[in-house]
Amino acid sequence: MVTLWFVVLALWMSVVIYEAFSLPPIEGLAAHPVVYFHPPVAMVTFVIFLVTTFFGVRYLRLKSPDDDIKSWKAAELGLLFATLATVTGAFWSRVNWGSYWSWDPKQTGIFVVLLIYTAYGALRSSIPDPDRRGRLCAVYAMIGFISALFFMFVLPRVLPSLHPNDALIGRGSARPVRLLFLGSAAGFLGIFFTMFSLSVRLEQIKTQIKELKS
Amino acid sequence: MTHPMTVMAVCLVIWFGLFGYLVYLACRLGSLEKQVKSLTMPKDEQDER
Repeated sequence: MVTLWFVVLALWMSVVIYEAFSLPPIEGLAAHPVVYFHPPVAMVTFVIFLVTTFFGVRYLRLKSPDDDIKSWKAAELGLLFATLATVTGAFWSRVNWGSYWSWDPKQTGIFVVLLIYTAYGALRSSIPDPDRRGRLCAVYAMIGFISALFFMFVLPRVLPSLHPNDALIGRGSARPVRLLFLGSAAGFLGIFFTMFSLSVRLEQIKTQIKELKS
Repeated sequence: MTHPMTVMAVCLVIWFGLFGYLVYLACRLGSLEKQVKSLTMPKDEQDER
């Protein structure tokens, strides 16, 4: 079943990659296939941070160690996806704006978000007591998510920014571009949920092995 | 100026990197599941095998 899902995911993303390179260029945008990579990854990053917060809140309510593990693993994957969005964004910025990093409000925002979720990892590893760690990390995840929303969605709209907002999924873009964009986002979401379920299961098994050995 | 092809190459490397990481997670999970099975299996059954 897992293998079949992997095949479906690989096929889906192969079609997205193929179409990304075969669709005609978008006017005024260099390296246009990145449209189907950088923005979807950035969108999925925020879904992941929402998942982190969701399981954090659930842990605070139900005190189930599984929810704490899920919140932690989602935060780790969120950091991975945020890094990928930043790296691809920096390369794309070099082609379109002339420099890798220009401290644009959106770039500054993602930099702060990366710091927030790196600190989450540091906080997690600094508390040995599992319940205290779970509670603190859950509260931190909530505050982190609210800050991330502010830095990524409010600040770039208030300050002048080179970075476009919602330009590709709005009605201004052509239908094939919009469809492929959403297809790519769905594919990355699929990759995230597969990684998420695998890494949560891995952590649960590691705990089980520790208990069996002790 | 960075060539647009470089940007696309970076994206493709990351794209395949993600798949590689997925496969790594699945393999690691498989090996740990085997370890759990061998730890939970009764000793006489292990000797029989």
